[in-house]
Amino acid sequence: MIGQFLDFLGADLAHYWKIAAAVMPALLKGFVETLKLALVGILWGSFLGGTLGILRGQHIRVATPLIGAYLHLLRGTPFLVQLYVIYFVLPNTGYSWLQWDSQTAAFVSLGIYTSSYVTEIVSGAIRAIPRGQWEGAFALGFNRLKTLRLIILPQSIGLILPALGGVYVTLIKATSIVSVVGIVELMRQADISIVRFPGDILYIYFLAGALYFAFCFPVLMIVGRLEERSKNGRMVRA
Amino acid sequence: MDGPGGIDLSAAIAAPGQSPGAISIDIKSVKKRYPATANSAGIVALDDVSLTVKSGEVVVIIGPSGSGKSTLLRTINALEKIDSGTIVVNGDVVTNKATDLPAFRSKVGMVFQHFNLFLHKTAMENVILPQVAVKRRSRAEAEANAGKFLAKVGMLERANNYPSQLSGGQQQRVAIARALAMNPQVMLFDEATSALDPETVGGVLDLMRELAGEGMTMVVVTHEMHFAREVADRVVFMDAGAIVEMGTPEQVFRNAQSERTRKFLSLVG
Amino acid sequence: MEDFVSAIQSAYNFRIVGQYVDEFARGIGHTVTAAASALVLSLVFGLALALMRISGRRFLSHPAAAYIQIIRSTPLLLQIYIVYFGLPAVFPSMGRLPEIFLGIIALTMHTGAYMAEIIRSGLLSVPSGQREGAIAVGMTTFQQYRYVILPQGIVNIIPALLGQTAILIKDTSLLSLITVFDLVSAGMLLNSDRVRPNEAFLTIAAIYFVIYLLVLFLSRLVEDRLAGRGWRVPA
Repeated sequence: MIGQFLDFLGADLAHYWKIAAAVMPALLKGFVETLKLALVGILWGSFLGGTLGILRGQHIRVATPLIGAYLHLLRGTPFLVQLYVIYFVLPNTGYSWLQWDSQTAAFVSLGIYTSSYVTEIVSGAIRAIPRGQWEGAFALGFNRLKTLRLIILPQSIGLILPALGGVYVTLIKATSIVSVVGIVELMRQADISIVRFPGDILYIYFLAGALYFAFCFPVLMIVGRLEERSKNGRMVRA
Repeated sequence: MDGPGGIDLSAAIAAPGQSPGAISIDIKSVKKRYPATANSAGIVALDDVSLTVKSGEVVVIIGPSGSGKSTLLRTINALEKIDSGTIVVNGDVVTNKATDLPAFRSKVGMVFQHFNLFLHKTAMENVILPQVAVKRRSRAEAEANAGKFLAKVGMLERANNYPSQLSGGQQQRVAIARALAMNPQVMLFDEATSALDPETVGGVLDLMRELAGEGMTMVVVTHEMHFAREVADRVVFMDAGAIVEMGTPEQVFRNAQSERTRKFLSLVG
Repeated sequence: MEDFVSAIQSAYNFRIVGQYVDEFARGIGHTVTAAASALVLSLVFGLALALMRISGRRFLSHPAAAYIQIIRSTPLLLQIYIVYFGLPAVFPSMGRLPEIFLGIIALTMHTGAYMAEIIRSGLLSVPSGQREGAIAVGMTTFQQYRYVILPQGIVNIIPALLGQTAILIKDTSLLSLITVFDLVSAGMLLNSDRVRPNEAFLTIAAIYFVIYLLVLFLSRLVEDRLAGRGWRVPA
């Protein structure tokens, strides 16, 4: 068994180079598609999640339980299932605006998936701002919106941005799943390439993995460092 | 050490139409109750409290913790809601739902126990921002104003420091400048020196003394008895949500009528 | 009222769902089996990785750290495919195993990395004085961990472990893509037989949600029990 493993490893280096050259263009094209999906996902997700998070961060009576239920629903179901529901069930309702193609369905489900994370992050960051900041502003004559815009949100950005980086990585990984509805992103490209070179399945998947890693790992490192800094920076200013 | 000597705060006392002696703050029959929860019975925070403050008067409220004195102070600028009663401040009916609260609050200055300076802004920016955002003054005017008041509280040199770089006493002085720069008609002080080191307490109290001397209408909640004795026009003793005793400093400190007042005073000295 | 009932019925036909109860039960069974097995295995694997990481010996801690970073920076689906296609290629005997085994292995390798991070934070949260006290009374390293460090560290991290369990349960849904007959596959079967997406996918979603609520409920129970104990994870 070990012998087989070593044989597998010691195989022709030239062969691997040839496969890589043949396959990488397609993989890179897929990766660009992955980045596109992730970008749309984070934009929509941040917009939706940011709004919900701001609402949720302020203990507004009606909104909090509703948003809480929405979050539980999203956190309690797998992304794959959410994708299927959005892709199969919603168009089934007959409403014309829900008759979307696979790419739109992918965008929508990625956006909604992202929003569930962003909502928590934003509302947590807002709640972390001391109550005295709100009271100081109110006492001076700021209304709620002004306080949010000028006092609270500027202070919460420092908490939100590092966490958002982590969400971005989660999102990139989730894009691999939309391959099941036919979107040709990196995973799909890898699957297609494997059909061309069925003897090199593992290698091609490793190449795809390397691409994911090359992008996600640095982002995770930066995020980690930012989080350390914001944790210490709170105590040591300027 | 920066000192507040010889401050001219008359510019801040721009209370239009407020002749000395007219009633500035009128609190009538205010009641507030915290509803009962699973863990505790309902607590009466304010028990049918009535109080009037005249223009230019300095009223000092004393009492044990939990007596409701801070709660009462915070109802004046509606940071606390009440269950029943009315509060009128210089013609604005605070308790009326239709009142534009932000506009009203820009006329009332409040100084908090924990300063509540905006942590992401420098001292100078803290004093400028409310003027520009709420009073809609031009940036130039606000800056000039800010410089003036920061100088007067002795903090102009540290104008570009962030709150995290300032001591408690310094932050409180900036907070006072920030409130004064809005030209309030009334100043509320909620235990303004309780969170300060003993060395810095005196400086802030001197500032408050000056302010009183210039004729500002002030309501002060404090534990500093000598301040109450020397600066107050009237002293109010509260306990368990109600006003127990009220009078001039001599009346309350030398000649307290109520047993509870005397007990409290003997404890605090 | 009748219109309302028939509207519900056309949107979601309970009878059709009822006809597939056996399939759903089979799917749930596989989902739960995969999740439970992966949970136990990943806890063991995660503990090993965590101990490697904090061991202070570089030939242990560096590979462990590298492994965790790789897992975190690549998609689970890719990891599953690599195990599914790769393991039988390297160890041909594995090709005869049912897919669910391969799925469990992939889930273990994935979740183990996350469990390792959680366990590591739990171990680090135990004050170092505890270890010193254990050393002072003469305990071997094994005894130190077994009697002093692990008991305290684990209590702190139970909420995080439950959270990761909820994630694991959701992750099992990807096994449907390597032909494991799990809950998702059961629904897909209904849809391919009867072309009724609502009954298929909404049922899947509902069942997952119920399982999630159970885990949530368990998590709240545990947190309430722990609240009185005084162990607090450092924020």
